[in-house]
Amino acid sequence: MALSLFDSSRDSLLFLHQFTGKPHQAFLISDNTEAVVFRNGELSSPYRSGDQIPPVILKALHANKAGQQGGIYICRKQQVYTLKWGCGDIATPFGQTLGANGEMQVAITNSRLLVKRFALSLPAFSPEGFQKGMDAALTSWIRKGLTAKANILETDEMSRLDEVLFTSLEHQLQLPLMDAGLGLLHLHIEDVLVF
Amino acid sequence: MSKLDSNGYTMRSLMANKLLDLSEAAQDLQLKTALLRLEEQVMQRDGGPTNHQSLEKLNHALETAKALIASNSLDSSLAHVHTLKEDIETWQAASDTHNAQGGIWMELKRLFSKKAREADKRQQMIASLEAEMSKLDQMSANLTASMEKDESTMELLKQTAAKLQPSSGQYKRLRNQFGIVEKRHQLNTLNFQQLSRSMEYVGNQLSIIKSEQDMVALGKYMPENMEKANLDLGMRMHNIEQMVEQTKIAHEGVSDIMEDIGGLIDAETSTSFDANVAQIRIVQENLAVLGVSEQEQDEQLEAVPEVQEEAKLAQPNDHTTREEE
Repeated sequence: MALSLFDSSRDSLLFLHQFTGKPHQAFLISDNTEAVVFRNGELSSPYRSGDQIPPVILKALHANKAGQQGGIYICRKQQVYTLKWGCGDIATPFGQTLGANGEMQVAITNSRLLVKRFALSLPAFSPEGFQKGMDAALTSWIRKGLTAKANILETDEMSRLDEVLFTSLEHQLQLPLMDAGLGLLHLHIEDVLVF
Repeated sequence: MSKLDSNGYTMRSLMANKLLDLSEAAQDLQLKTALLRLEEQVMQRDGGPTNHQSLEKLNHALETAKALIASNSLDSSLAHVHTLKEDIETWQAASDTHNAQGGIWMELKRLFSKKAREADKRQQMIASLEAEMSKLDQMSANLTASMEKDESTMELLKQTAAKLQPSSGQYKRLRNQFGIVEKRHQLNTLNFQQLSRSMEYVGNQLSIIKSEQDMVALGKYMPENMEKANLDLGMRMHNIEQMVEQTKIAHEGVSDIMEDIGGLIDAETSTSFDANVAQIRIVQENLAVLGVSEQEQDEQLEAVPEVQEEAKLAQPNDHTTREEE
């Protein structure tokens, strides 16, 4: 069975298999990975270690009726994705603006949601497009979280901005990350600048 | 391998996916997190058999959770998470029982496994060869002790005879006895050489089979033709057994041969005994000239335990010999 595999970087959270030959054998899922099949406009539940995608599904994928995004998305459950972020021009109630930068680490908690949110939203899947889309979403959630807190900052909180922003941001990131099939492993605010 | 459904999912995976569905449906962060933890818990261990009542109970609990989440009753949903957790644990515990009951089937599977059979055969050979090596070691130790004792006895006989007249009856008895012990010593020496060769051969075969066993364990050794491999193993084992058997027969045969020899001592032995005794006599005379008393010479001889034993036997005749003198 021939298959084409998009090149993907070593630290990519997912990549895509698209079949070009006639499958005769089931597709075995290896340890620490999950597979989500997209066909007929629908995403399957995740296949996990020990599961096998049957040939009948692979044949359907081979027919390429699912379009350019059709195929098997292989998700690396053990992979940690690190993003170095920076956000500026966030207004405070005191007429000042603040900026912050730092680092966050995430990992997959729900493969199906991750594929749905960041892979199927692309016109055609590519690792670069996937990563760019994910980086943009993560940064926007950080900005949203920082802005939400900056808008309601108290005077006494200005002296301990790092701590206040961290606590708020960590809490506010949980839900959007979870809805995108990700879990927050680590968050760090390196600098907070107020102008 | 776990059974798969028509879509290729294991039962464990199906259960985990149901929990994943519930976490997606839940609105509350705490509830979502709790359900994802349960999903992880399901994936960490095998579940029980598909026909087990614990699975039915877990399925029922999952349906209840689905209804609770759909009705947006957060408190009830969070409380139900605990029930789900217990039901998952019960189902996973059923897996242990199932595996324990499946022991006989696993054993049968092992019996029919080509690789396992190969490993078992070698393991049996290793155990058998190690037992043989242990026996040969014991034989070697016994033989060495016997040879040392014979050497010491021969020395005593010569020392005792040196004090006697060569024409005396006691001297002749000692010479006969010396001849028998010397023959036994010669046979034991030959046996020891044979034993050493056997031990070397068995030791080499043991290390070869052990290294093959290691390769089998690593999955790197699997003969293409099992019948040929078994024949080869059988031949090797047969050769080893034959060699060990010959060694044992030779070892056990020494006493029979000695019985057959009886009092027959060839002229060569007599000559060597006489020459040796004469040599000792010369040494003793020299010692006497140097002022070493007879008692001191005896003390030196009696330091060897076997000498004491032989000396007891020789005493009555010694007296007769002295009378003759």
